[in-house]
Amino acid sequence: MMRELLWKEWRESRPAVIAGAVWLAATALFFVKVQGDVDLPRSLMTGVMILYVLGPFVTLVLLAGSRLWGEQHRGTRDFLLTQPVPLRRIIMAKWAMTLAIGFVIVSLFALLLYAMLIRPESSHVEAPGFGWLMTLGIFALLLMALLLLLDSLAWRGWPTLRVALMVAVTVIMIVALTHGAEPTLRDAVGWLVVAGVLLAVAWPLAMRFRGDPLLPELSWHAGGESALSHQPLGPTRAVLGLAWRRLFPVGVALLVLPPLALVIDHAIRWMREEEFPLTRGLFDIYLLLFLLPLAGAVLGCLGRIVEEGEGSAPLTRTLPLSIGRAQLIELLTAVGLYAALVAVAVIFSPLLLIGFEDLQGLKEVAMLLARSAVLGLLLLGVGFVLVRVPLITPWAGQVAVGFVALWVLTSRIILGERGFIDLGDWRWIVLIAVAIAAPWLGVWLSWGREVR
Amino acid sequence: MSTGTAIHTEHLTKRYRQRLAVDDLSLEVQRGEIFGFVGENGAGKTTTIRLLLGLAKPTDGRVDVLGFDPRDSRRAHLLMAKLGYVSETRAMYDWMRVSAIIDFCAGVHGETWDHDQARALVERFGFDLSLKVKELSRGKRALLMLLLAVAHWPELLVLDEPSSGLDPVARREILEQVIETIQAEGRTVFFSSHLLDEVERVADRVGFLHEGKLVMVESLDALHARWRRVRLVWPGEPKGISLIKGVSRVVGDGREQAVITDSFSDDLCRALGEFGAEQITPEPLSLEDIFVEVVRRN
Repeated sequence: MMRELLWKEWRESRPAVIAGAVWLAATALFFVKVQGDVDLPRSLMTGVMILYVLGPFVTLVLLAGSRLWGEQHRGTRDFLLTQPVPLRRIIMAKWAMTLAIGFVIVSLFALLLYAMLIRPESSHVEAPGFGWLMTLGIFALLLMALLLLLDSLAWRGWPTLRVALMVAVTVIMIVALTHGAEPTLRDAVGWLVVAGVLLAVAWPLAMRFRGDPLLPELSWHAGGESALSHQPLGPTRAVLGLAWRRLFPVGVALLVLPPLALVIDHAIRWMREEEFPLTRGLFDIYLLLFLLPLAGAVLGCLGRIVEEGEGSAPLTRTLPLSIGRAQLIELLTAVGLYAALVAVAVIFSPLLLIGFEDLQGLKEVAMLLARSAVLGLLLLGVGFVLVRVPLITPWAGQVAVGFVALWVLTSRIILGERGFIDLGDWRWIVLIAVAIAAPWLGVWLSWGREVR
Repeated sequence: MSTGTAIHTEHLTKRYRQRLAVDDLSLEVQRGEIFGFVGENGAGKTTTIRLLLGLAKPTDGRVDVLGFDPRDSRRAHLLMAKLGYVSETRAMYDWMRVSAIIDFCAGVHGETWDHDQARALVERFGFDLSLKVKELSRGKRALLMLLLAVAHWPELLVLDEPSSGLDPVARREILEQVIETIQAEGRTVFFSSHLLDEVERVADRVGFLHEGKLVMVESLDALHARWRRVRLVWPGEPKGISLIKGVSRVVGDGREQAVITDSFSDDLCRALGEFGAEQITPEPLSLEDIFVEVVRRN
């Protein structure tokens, strides 16, 4: 019985595993072959953020999420539940297979990175302690285990426990083992919420417990340069700034992919004359998929601006960036990153709690808060651009503003319903116009001035 | 027909926010019976079936299926081992090949799976085992799900609109298979449909569901005996025949009329004759006609 269930889980996970492996291989190849020849240590530094944090995290969330969405979204849940298999075995099979695959992926990530770091030509780079790899693996598996435990909530109805979910995840885990909850597709939104909370809370806590900095610490020497990648509140700009550079395109990619997926999804549904437009649940999931990378992309943009803006922007050149300010900015950006994730998680928690069916009013409030939070982030990003960047990287301003426009267009046109921002509202048009015009105005006003 | 109850519900109720999908449904289906569950689209048939299978949680009331509480997740698999289910959506694992999904179900059923029966049905339905489920036609998909539902000889076969949207050949195959399934003693079939002619062909007893309420449960024989259309020819303009006891509705006017009755008897014919009818011709009503009358009345 278990053999059949495990086989099914494996076959359903296979596309995700292949995609993850291809992505992993491509990333490694890119660092070693394309960038590594030029400046391997620096490339590795920039890749740390992606390989260590984004890679496993995204893969695991996708894997765990697909375990829930798979049965529910394809409508096979009833078929599975009417087979003579104890519920606990179904859940166990899902956990076991996802954990096994997750373990392999996380290990691969870790081993590849490790292998790259001990290449002969990069021997002057101190590899991160092996404890880091262990911590990462344990954290990733814990994260996945939590998600999978929550998955069991998807199987039987218990709405009051859902309310408790965000109050005490641990309690819910225990309850999930014995009872579970009836699924709605929209519960899937909660997965990302929980993942966000875990990333925002569990990771720093784990690092705090270990006494390590937030990100892996590397000391490196290349050419005339040398730096320690991470000291608590130290001058970590070398790695942080470079990482921001990588986070930025990743954010852009993530921002573009969901709409692309939506377009493809719509096209396929249209061709097959299937349900159109998307169900409300899918819309919510895509909405959250938009939100998280959007926050990441804005922060990435912001970080890049901070990293490149030292003493160069007209408005700050009278106040050169000191070490003290660097520390402050780093602290703010790090806190901002996690705060954004927590904020998104908290804002969206009502969506998880209510299953969206019974408390429509709360959902409206949640959406309002989410709009405000993301727009606030966007405006913050644009503000930084306006203050620090016009002369050096005017394009960054355009990109930041482009996020707003992209968001508006995708939510309104692609999603086919009243979206995140109502394009018909003239105030948004004015806001977008001002946001686009302002950086150019800054460039024009600063043209020809000496940059110190 | 073996004795005992296959399905028992008491005041079963399911509410979705403002909508009452199933309203205080009390029902008993005996073992060995073919029970036709009839209702318009949206009447609550699928919801009721989901409640019977434990796939949805009742707002109120009690369900007992083959002696199990289907909501008891620790014992639900024991119930499922005795049950076959063909869902309205016929959703299965599209990516599996026909052979793989048969093997999958055989694996999870274990010893109760009848490989010979499965092979015979594969042959009879003409399945290409190498095809993927998603490549099957709608009819074949329904037949495959039926195969998976009956290959372990379930005590209770639950079919939710099994032949909806199918061509006549596939419909006939399904009905014949249903009949074959219950030929073995003690097996029960509970099937919902809005295609009343097929219900009429196979059901022993029917239940009419209207807006979530079970408005009538009766054996087909009793229904046909009770409900009649009586054609009448009058010498002149008749008046007041609707007052005759047993007349539910009068159709038409002038000299030729018909009365619909839900309590047909010789006494009614006699009363109509005494009222002056020249010709009295009782005709049977189809299940569809009876259903329409019952719904109209409710």
